[in-house]
Amino acid sequence: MEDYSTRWSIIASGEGANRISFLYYAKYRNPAIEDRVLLLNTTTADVKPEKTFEYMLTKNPRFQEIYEKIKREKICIFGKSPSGAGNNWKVGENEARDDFDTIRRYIENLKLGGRDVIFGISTLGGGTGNGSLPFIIYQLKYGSEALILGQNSFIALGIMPYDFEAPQRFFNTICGIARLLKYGPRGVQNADMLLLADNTQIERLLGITESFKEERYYRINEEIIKAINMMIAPGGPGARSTIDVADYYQLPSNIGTYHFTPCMSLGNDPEVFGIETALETAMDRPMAPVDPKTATMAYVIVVAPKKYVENGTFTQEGLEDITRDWAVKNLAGRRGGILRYSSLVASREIETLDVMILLGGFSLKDIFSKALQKYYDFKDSLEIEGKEVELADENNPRIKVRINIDDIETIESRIKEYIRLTEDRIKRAREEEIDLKEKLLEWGFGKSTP
Amino acid sequence: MNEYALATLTIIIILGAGFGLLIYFGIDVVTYFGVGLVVASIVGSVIYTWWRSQSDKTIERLKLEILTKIKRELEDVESLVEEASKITDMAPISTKLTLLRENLVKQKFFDNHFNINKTIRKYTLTFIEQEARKVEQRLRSLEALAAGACRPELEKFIKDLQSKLEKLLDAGYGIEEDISEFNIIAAQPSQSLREMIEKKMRLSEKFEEVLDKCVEEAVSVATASRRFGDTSTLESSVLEVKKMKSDFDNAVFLLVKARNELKDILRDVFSRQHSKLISHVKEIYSLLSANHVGEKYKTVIRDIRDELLSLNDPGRIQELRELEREFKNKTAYVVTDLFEEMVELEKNINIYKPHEKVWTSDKKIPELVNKVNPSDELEVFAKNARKALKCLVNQLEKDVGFLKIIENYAKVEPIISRKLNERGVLTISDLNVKYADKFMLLYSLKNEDTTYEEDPPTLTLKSKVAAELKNKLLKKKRS
Ligand SMILES: Nc1nc2c(ncn2[C@@H]2O[C@H](COP(=O)(O)OP(=O)(O)O)[C@@H](O)[C@H]2O)c(=O)[nH]1
Repeated sequence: MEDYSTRWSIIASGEGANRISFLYYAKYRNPAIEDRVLLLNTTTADVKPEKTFEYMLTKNPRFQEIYEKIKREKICIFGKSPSGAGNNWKVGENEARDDFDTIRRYIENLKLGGRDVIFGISTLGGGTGNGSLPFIIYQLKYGSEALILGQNSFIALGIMPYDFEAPQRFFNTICGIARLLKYGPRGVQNADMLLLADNTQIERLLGITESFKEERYYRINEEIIKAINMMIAPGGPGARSTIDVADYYQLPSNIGTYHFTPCMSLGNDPEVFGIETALETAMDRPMAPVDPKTATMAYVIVVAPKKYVENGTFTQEGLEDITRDWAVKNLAGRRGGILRYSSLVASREIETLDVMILLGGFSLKDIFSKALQKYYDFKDSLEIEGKEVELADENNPRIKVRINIDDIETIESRIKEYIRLTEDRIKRAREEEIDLKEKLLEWGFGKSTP
Repeated sequence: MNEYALATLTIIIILGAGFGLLIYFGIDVVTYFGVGLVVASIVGSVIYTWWRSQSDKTIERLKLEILTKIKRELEDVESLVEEASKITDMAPISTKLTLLRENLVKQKFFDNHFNINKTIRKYTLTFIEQEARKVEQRLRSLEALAAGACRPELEKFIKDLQSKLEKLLDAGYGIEEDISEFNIIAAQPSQSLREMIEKKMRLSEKFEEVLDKCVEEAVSVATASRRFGDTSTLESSVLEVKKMKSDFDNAVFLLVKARNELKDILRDVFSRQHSKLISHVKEIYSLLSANHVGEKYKTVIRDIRDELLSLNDPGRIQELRELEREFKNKTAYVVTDLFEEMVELEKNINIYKPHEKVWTSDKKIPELVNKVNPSDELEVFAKNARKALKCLVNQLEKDVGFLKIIENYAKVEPIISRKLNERGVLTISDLNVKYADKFMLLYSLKNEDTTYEEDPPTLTLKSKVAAELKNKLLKKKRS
């Protein structure tokens, strides 16, 4: 553990996120996380909490045992409503607010340190996670009851619904993205970094043809976990150049665009593939619909078997050169975006060359163009009563809540502002280089020099 | 004197008693008394004489015993000193011993031949005992003196032999174990003259044993080397050593000389054979250096190479020969093992029924492997082994490569598709993966709309290239 410069912990809210975290805890533990995992959920009175994990528990008998062990300490059921949050993010948010004492007790149990990274996970289509996670992050970061002193960082992972899902899910998604990016009365930056992954996209990358829903989730979740582990790797032992958490979020936050998506190419045979090819492959495999040519930031993480690092097949310097060429060729602008960082990690555990690019600052156009139609389909169906609308769950109309129309407008304007900034950054990255001659003149050089 | 007085007194008393009897009882009784007395005297003197002779004998015997012991001890010390004189000069001590001996003769204890004199009857037992004790003390002190003189000499002797042993070892004789045995004997404690003499004897024996061993070794190397030069004088001079038992200096000198002469005779042969063998070993080793050849094979040959490199004494030509045998055997094993490995791999490969342009097996190999025979002469063996290994290693690389191509094709295929759609034509440098040519070939075999050319490896997407060509022509026409 002392090999890891940073401790990580996972706070997952909502059903989908709980499944990811449980699978992570049961199968893929990472020494940087140890057992700092917290699963938050609301539940309906008539449904048992383990319903969420049913498929996994039957899939692997060992999981049942693990579940029994963690269910009291690591699974927090919050909220007072007997019907849960349903598909309604506003309900999820309210429940978290009303029952924050419970949530706080569980978070205290995680025994976080002052510099720990809190990795929040939520699906964006649902109600519980999507509703509560932005609120919880905001509370922990800025709230009057801020639990955590020191300099914790908050990375959020939002999982976008399948393309075919119902309009309300996309309404939730857009609100969720907006609220993870900016929150609170003044709309300050919420998560320090937002990672986006898209169910349809991941499923296509994996070539999943399975029709059984639970198995499909299971496989997507595995892939997401791999991305989390890749992200943690550069802070661990074997890293030739350490990417610390601060490196992940500080500059993007300064730049003002801090959304990313992982692109992975795992399991490459180092005897056949070089880093260049692995990068190209990774580039073809973003976890959300993205046009790489608009990306202004990239973190490149390469995990290679120790022996190939020791014998010089892969070196940090080589990786930096390759990354530069690759970025110039593939990212926005002629200089290869505005921020990139690469880290080579020598691993004793793996035999393959694994590459992950965290693409960032890209245009959100592809993501929004698939979400907006359904967003409006849903929004337009809302009946405005005075200044308020009633949000009801499409599937379970019993669950309904009122929301001020201005709140929706605020959310919209914040995300629009964010998009504007993103587009501006992309444009700036693409701008021609300055005319040096002209600029030198402008700075007062050149009158005496020929 | 007393005896006579006593006898006189007894006679007077008897005469007195006889006179008394005569006066009181008359002549008859006196007659009886006289006869009885005579008889009693005769009987008494017989008894007395017998008794006297008995006690005299015991004393004489004791005297004899003491003198015999003295003689024995003296002779013992004399012989020890004589032995010791082989270690160092014992003259002063010998003189003193002679004096002691002469003195004993002078005292008439012994005659000129140092036999015990008859005249010792003259001496009382007490006197002889006193003299004997003196002699004994003298002997002890002389012995101690001799031991003191011997000790440094014995040490010198041991050092000398040890240095001789070193010389023999340096000359190349295999006597490491004997040396340590010798040193164990040398380290045993020795206080008395006897112990020292015994130790010296044992050391000499051990040393002689070593000499014999060296002789044998020299002779066997010499006989084995007859065909490389005339070793007859050398052999006979070495056999001389057997006869010169105690002349260690000369023996060692001869043995060392013989060994050096042998080295001279063998030096050329040895270095020729040594360098030949080593170059074969190195060549085989470098053939095995490829990445896909298992470490265990490399180790086997590397060990032989290292052993060869540390073997540089022409006198150890036999070991060189053993190493050659080992090299042949182990190389033959490596060849068969690699061959079996290849057969196993190719079983797997054949499952894929690969197109012959992508992969072929090497039909020559089984025959080449068969030809590798350790009983062949080194040159022939090495040539055959090299041929077989070269092909085997090459083929193994192909096999391993092919399996890698199969395993990784699914990952490479989309890369090829994308690039091919972008550019229409692909060359190796566009692909940036190992086995790029084979991947392109395999791709073209699976995709009808493509062609693959070998020299230089190029993959072409027919429809795209055709379309571009058509466009160009159209443009030309228009302009
Ligand atoms: N990747 C993934 N997505 C899930 C999983 N479960 C549900 N989802 C997605 O999450 C959305 C529903 O949110 P869910 O987590 O079930 O609701 P919550 O409990 O109210 O937060 C839908 O868009 C689902 O496609 C899962 O296990 N993995």
